[in-house]
Amino acid sequence: MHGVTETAYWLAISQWPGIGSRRAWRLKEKLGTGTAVWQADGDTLQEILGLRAEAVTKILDMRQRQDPATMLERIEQRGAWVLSFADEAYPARLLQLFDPPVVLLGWGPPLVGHERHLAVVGARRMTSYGRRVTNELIGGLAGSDVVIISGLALGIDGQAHRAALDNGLVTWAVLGSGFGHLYPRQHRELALQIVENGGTLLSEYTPDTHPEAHHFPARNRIIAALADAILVVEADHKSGSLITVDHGLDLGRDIWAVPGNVTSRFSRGTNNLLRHGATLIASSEDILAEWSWGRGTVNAEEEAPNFAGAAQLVYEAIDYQNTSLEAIVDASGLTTAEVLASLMELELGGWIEATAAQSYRRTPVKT
Amino acid sequence: MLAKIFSASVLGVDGFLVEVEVDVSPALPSFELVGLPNAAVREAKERVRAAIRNSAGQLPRGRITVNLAPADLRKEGSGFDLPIALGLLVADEQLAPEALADSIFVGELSLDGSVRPIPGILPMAIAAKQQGFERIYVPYANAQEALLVPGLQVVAVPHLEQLCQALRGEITLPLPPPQPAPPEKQDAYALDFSDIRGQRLAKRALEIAAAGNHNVLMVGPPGSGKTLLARQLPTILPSMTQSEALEVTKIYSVSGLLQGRGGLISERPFCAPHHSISYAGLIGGGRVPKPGQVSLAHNGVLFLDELPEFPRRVLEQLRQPLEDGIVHIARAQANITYPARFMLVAAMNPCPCGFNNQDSHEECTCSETEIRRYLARLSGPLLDRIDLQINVPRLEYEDMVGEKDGESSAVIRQRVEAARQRQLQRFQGSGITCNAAMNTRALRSSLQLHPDGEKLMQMAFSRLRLSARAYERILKVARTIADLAGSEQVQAPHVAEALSYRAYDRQGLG
Repeated sequence: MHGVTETAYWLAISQWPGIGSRRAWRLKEKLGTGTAVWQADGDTLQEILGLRAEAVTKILDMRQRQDPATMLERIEQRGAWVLSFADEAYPARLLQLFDPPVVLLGWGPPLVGHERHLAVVGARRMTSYGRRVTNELIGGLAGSDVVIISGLALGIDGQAHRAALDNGLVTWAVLGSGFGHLYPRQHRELALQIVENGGTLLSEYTPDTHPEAHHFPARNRIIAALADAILVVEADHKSGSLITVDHGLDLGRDIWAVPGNVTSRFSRGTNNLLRHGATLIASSEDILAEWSWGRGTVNAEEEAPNFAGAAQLVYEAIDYQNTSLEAIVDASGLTTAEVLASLMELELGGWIEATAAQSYRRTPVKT
Repeated sequence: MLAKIFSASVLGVDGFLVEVEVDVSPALPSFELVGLPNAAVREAKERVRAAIRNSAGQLPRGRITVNLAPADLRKEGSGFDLPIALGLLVADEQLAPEALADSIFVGELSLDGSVRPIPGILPMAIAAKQQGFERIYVPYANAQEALLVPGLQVVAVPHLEQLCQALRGEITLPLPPPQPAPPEKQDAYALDFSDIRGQRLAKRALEIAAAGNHNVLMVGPPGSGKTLLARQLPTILPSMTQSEALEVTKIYSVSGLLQGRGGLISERPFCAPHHSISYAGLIGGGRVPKPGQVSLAHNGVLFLDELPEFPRRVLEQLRQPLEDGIVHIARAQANITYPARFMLVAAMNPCPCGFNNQDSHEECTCSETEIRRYLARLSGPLLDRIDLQINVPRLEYEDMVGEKDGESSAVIRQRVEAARQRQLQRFQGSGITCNAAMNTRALRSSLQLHPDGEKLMQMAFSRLRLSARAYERILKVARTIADLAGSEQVQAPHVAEALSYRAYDRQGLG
């Protein structure tokens, strides 16, 4: 067969029944190339894989029917790219895994190295605390060369992607399904936004693969491998994000955790990580300090902007911490109507932000 | 001999005349009632028979036929007892027909002959007046209602026997009881706006709502005072005009809710049905159609607490009254229209547990899916009709105690009345009475948006991710804010303030 690339062969091989990442890796070690594997006879395969004869027959049957070049072409026609673990461009970090994905499919720009790669993970059930902390931590990284990696799940994962988008950061989402079956449904829109904003969707599954329960722990190893540090925002004892942490530990990644209320069961997992030596992250400055990045710190003494009339009084009444509407009205001495109008003006100007119902604070001045 | 007595009944909230014809002919004794009577009317036979025997005289012997004309309209209720009894006595020549001329008789009889109150007296009295009758005989307990119609002589009837004696000229009936003094203001609304501490945003939003008759949605955790705020709303609404008050009293009269309340209802009604309310209870209807809560809230406030807990089917029915100010009930037996022009005030939690998006110590533990599902119970078309959406957070202790007293309801009400006046002048002759009722064309012609305000709108739309359907509602509210400020033009600060009342949209899920 002419013009069939290694990538195409490995893509085809990854689809063989009974061949997971580990067996595929063994084939690569013994036979060297995808072409060699493709041309190998049944006995050779059986010997390397240690499978029963029927299983090998099934593989040979499938190989008969497969057309690697077309397979690859079809995927590429859908706008995705494919890398096999034999490719030059395959992320080196993934090869640190003992079971690197045979193929990595990407939708969006090809992966390029950034200065730092931060995995932000956590529970699907997120409290408002978790949401706020995620937003604040990622918001504090705005302007730095960091990629936010997560798993597109509900809860912290989705919030991490969203916060990255809001702050102009590149974000990668590692899926537990093919691109054709984005999961969860509620995050389809988010997935599209990620791609539109220069981020990439990654998956080891072909586009038509449905999400299945065992895919999600598996994709966690990819998240862990791609990251420099893994930040767990909220997790209960048995959260899936702890699987990511286990992979991260195997790979020698930094494990960071956000402390939580001791009475909250949504922070039991993270508090436990801290007990066992994870680095405590309480603000984005902690992250910057871990990476010895001195930039982006907030300087409250920066000269305050000047506004006309009422807006100035209102701005002065607002803190860098949450300030309630009642407090603003009292401090400014204006009527509720005047305060509301000024708040909206300031918010639209980006000087303040609404943090919760009737609660505002100054936007940290960005350098 | 044949006797004709005039009586009245109610369809919807309007009265109509009914002619009660009684014929007694010498034949085998029987008692027939014709003219589409319902069960309560058919049972009149038994009550009338006993009441006559126990008080006034004798039941005529022979074949009795009673016809209720017009025969094609369905008759309901027990108000025909009295005219039927009188008809029998006239037909039997126990009473002279002349004494009953130019009069309308309504009332239910008890077996001993005393006359019991019935619902709907006010619309019946109005119909009597319109048809040129001089007098209306009503149950003693209903006399207050009938007295609201000027130029109509009201005779309060305590008992059938006394009525017969009076008609024969033997005695004069006692005068109707005097109007009770209108209840003290403090009794009607135990609290005042100045009694509510903190919650300035909500108070300001309710002032705007009252000024432009906008519907309001309050989003806040349990215990933040949503219900308290809503209950104070009537204290700042403009007072009812005479005709509005009469409309309301008519509805309460038809529902039988006036007894013991005295005459005219002069305070705007406040209805707060529980979310377990049935479809017919809220909208009106039933086998014998009655006005629902939406009609009882006519010209007042309909407060729906825990909005998403109401069955969706029931909420969807609110669309017609919110749009047209009426409910139309179509049944096989009758088509009835009730007025239902109310201000909708709704309250809900931000999520099932109530702590989402709150600056508080308690954490929300709802999953995104749960929150989404909770909020999705409200349909877009319903939300479309709610102009003001506000957050009502739970207050810190300091916010509730350390505050100087706010403005009293009376002061706010003055501003509201002035703003309404401006609207009435602006919309003169267009059939629109308030800013909330503006259609797209009226909005365009009355807006006079300052260019700065226009710019602000554009910026807000891109930055706050507002939906397109929010656009008109923000401008309507801005128009009302300008009216409150006494400004012909809608300025940028008015628009900015209006933008702060979009709590639901800004949950990012609207």
